Amino acid sequence: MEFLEHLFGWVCGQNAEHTWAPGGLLLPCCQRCTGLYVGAGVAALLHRWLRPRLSGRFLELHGAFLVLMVPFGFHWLSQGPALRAAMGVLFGFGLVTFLWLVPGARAGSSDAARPAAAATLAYFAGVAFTAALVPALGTWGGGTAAVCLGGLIFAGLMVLGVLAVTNVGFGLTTAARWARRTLVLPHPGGPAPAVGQTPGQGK
Amino acid sequence: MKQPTVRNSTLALVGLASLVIYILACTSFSPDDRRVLYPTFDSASRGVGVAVYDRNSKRSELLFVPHLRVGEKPGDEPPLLRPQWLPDGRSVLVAWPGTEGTADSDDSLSVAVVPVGGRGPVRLFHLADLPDAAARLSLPLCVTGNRLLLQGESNTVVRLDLVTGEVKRQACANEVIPYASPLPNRPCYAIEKSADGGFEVGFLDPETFALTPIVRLDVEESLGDGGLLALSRDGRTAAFVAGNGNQPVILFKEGRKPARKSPKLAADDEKLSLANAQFSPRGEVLYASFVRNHGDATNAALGFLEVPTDGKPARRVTLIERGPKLDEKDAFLFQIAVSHDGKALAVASTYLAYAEGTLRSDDCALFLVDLTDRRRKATKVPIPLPPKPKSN
Repeated sequence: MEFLEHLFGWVCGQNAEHTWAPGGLLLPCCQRCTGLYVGAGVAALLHRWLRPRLSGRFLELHGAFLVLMVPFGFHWLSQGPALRAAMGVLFGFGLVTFLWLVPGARAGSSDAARPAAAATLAYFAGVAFTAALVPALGTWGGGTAAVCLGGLIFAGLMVLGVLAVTNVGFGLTTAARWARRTLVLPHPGGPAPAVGQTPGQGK
Repeated sequence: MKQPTVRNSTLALVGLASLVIYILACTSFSPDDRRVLYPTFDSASRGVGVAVYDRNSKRSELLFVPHLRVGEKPGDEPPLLRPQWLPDGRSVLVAWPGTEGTADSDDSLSVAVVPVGGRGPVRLFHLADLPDAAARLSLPLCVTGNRLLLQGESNTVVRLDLVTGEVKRQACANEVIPYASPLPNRPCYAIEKSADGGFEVGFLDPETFALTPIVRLDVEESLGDGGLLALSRDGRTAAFVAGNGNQPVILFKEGRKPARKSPKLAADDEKLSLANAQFSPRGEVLYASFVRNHGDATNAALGFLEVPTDGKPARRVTLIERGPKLDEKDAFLFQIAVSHDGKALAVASTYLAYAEGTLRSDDCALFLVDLTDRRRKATKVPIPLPPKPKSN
């Protein structure tokens, strides 16, 4: 827990008044961040397992999950620990869904997936279950719940880290390809440019 | 094929931006860690008021000045103001003894709820029949939700609703002192078992006034006269000050386990008084403000101690080297507060200006100490010295 405490000190305010201590073990991040990271971890698991189709209403709903963080995150609406964590969970699901799009399409998983209604239902049941479970474990859980939450928080951070790095990696690769195509490669049918020359100079 | 790629990349960018914004914003989500309340002097009205310091913009703003005139005549006692944040972080509670306009009544307390940012009305309440009201302000007030809990007369607990103004007085079997809890919505209490020491600390139900003990310090453990200093943020460990007045030690008591004693905190020729204390968020260190008088010296040093709960030696950080001499009963005028994230400590020397001796103008300040800095770098926000008493 001490390692996690230092790690999350970089990304969370760790306001002790807004942090659960199940079984007397203070969690490494606040209630909202607990929801976010646990939500992100579970969301990645559900995306991998159920492979929901990432388009239409599904994306709109996850966009709404992200927008919801604005009034709650900036304290425009009053909220208790349970609501704070639940909003974190929804935000985590929204983030993972959006960050899953590019790697999922490259892997050919999202467009190929055509989940049955039961799978979509299972996915959203997972969202609701996580949003209810996190506050329940934080409020009434003991030492085991603290360890489980700590593990899930860490897993969620790793998932978000990997997805962020992957997306940035894909973004840079795409940008590099675009730059090569635009600036270095010859126009179709034209002669190859000499080294150090742009395609225009080669003519 | 190109359209989904652009859509996916755009949404991925939205996701990345949301994550970055969330992480950057989270560290300032707690409004009470971003801003610090402290008592100050308002030279325009010659009164004592409450200011709020924004740690981000590094600016101070006068927030509230009750109509309490000071320095009208020599020997005037300072009206003690206790400002503190309400749990919602949008308004502050300011309490002072006496009624609006007079600070001389010692059996009543005035309470104002002041919105920060000027949104909403200022609510003003007056509580009568509260003996020794000024003493109620020596420790942070016990606020839970919209309710303020105070010790009343004859073993009663007084509950004031900070929205409706409803007052309820509940008789108890013992002299119950409501105690500002480090846990949200779980107010605490302390009961002194006997004059020889011995304490009980627990949770106080604000609805039913039922008491649930969590820590008991027996008379044999208490090492003589002392008192409750602080409760850890998980509500499991209590710190008590013990020992004789000049050579205090701190006792850490967790549940039914035997009390652990801190190492010696002062040298033999020193007189050390502790004012208040707060645990670090993880409970591994107790921060306690101190006043140190040395022999017959006319000045005192003031600062804070960092006392590890595992028995390691305490660290002493002095903020004012040559401050006015304070006796033990006045040490409470120098009180620290630790931020919720445990990374900063604040203390205002406002009331030292009234103590016997001289407080240098550059020592009259709000001190903000960076607890993440190994040298405990302190930032000073100047507070104007109080107006000099008019000569008769």
